[in-house]
Amino acid sequence: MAGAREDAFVALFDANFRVVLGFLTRRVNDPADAEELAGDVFRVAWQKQDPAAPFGRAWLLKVASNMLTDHYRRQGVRGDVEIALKRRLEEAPSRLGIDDRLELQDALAKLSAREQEVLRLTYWEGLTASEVADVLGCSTSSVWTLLTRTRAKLHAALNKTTPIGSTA
Amino acid sequence: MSIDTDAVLADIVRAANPYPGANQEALTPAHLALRDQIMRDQPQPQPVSPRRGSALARQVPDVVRRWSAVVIAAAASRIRPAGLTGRKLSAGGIALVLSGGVVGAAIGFSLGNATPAPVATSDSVQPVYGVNGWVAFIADGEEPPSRGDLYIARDGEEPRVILDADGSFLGCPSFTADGTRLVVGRATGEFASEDDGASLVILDIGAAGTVTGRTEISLDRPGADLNGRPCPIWSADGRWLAFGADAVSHPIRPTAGDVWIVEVESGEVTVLDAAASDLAWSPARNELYLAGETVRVYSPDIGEVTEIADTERMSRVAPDPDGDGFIAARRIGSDSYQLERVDRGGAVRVTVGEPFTVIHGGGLVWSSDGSRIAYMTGCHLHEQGGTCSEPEEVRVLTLDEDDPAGYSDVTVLGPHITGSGNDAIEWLPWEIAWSPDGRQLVYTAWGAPTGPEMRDDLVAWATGILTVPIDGSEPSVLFHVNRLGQVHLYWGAPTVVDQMWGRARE
Repeated sequence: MAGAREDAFVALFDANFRVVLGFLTRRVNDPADAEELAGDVFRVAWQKQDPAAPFGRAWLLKVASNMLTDHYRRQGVRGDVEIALKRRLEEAPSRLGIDDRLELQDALAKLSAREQEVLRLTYWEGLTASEVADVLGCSTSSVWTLLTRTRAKLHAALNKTTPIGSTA
Repeated sequence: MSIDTDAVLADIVRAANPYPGANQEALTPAHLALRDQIMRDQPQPQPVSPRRGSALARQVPDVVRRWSAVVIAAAASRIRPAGLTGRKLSAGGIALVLSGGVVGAAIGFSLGNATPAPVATSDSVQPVYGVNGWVAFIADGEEPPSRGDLYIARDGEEPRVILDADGSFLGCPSFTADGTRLVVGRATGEFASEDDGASLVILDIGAAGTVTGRTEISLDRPGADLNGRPCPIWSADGRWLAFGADAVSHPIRPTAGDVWIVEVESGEVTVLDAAASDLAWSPARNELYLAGETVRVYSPDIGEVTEIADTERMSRVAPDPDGDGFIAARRIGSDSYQLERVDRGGAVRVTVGEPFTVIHGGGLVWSSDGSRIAYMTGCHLHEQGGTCSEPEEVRVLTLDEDDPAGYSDVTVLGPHITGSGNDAIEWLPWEIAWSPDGRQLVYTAWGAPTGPEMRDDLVAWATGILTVPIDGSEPSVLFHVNRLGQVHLYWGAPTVVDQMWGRARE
């Protein structure tokens, strides 16, 4: 039975470690912190996992998200994620031009933390609606609502006009 | 930066990913060492199964009948409407309505599976309108830059635009009771500012769905801020229009900060300084019901608001078609509701059905003959400890005050799946309205792709307009766009779509 657990964990780790690490790297200032936190996520997974009902990506990211909250509290850093994201955006070899990147940066900064997160989880992490719901702790329909409204806001900010399907 | 579609927006956001492709990178030797170390160093696992979505037991709990008792007095507090300058008038009067006499009469129902049971129609009770009435809605066309035009559609005919948004923002089309006039809210300004540039556009609609006349009532008033597109509804006689304004967002139902009433002929505006989470005109009288923390009734003919006693926490309301009372959803938990039939004095005649939870809008709406009520139910994952997988569904109750449960029959509509393979869409209602003949509902709906390669693909989600027969037969898709945001769902103000299905007959 121990072999089955190890096999399941190896499969889980190999398929998802990079996903979890990427998720964390975008959200902390120090990449070493991200590595450490990712290890902690999988330690929890190893302790909790039942090979008959293996965890999925969303569960891992939910745990990672909780650990981030704790990390921010321990570090006493408010807005750590925004700082990290801004730096990453500035450093990244983006496919966007500098003007567009700055415009997008400004537009993203105007969104709430939850709105930014739904965009990142959807488009950066590539999560499905139900996975985003698991990470955010809400229903799939709430994810849809949040994403639609967020896109509407982003449309408005980038087009300087009120977008399709926007909330009045 | 110019963005025409959500797909372009998605590409831009993806392009800004500072760590693209990270998920596909190979693990380093250090990572593999970490993996092995975790298994070696950590204590034996304590397996805990993750929470999985599991269907809630679809069993109706026991229902306790609550009879109304002796009405000792039925006075009311009265609030005069505030003028546009924000004049507030004091409330006066005392209401004492006692209801009680709780009679325990437990009864259980099994709703069975999702296949709806046929509902008997009662065509002989009320005039029957043709099902060929037009359905009106706001949607974006397939080709940019069309944005938010007013469409009408009906089964068997192509939807068509009858009012071009022309750069403005249209919202909430509503037909008069006779189906000859259609109103739509319009705004030209920025919603964030106080300059809404708002108006009500009234179109005369011929039997063939053509526009035969147009009137526009400006809503620009000094100091007035609608904070969005008006979402108007007609009084029964077509003399008045009402809508909520200055809404405060809420995940389930936004609450208007005040309510505007417009006399159509004169364009005169009265603003009630009264928060409302729902508003509905009585089908039988010139009375506007406002739900919020209590239910209030505004009579435009005398210009007074009457607060109905014993209606605390009733946040959704539907006046009875016969004018004798109303049905309301009383909040009994953080987002749990109980339907109650209430008379005009505030006495609860009977509780109806079992408590339910709400994700968003969708009812309460009466069928035109007053025999059935339709409303949406749903549940929140966090409310159910992460185990809720009950889809949003529409319940149609055939009401019966002599039945201990308050209804004699229930039909559960949904899920509705159209198409097959990767084109399969499961439609989930956002708002619902009755067909004039009470045989169908119309959904303003969003659609989840359910095809094997499309499941949970957020970008592929759709919006559309569906007509759904309540006898369980297949729904029809009147309008469907494979893109989010194309059929407008969010209004940012109390949404009342009861009147989106007109009664024009050929």
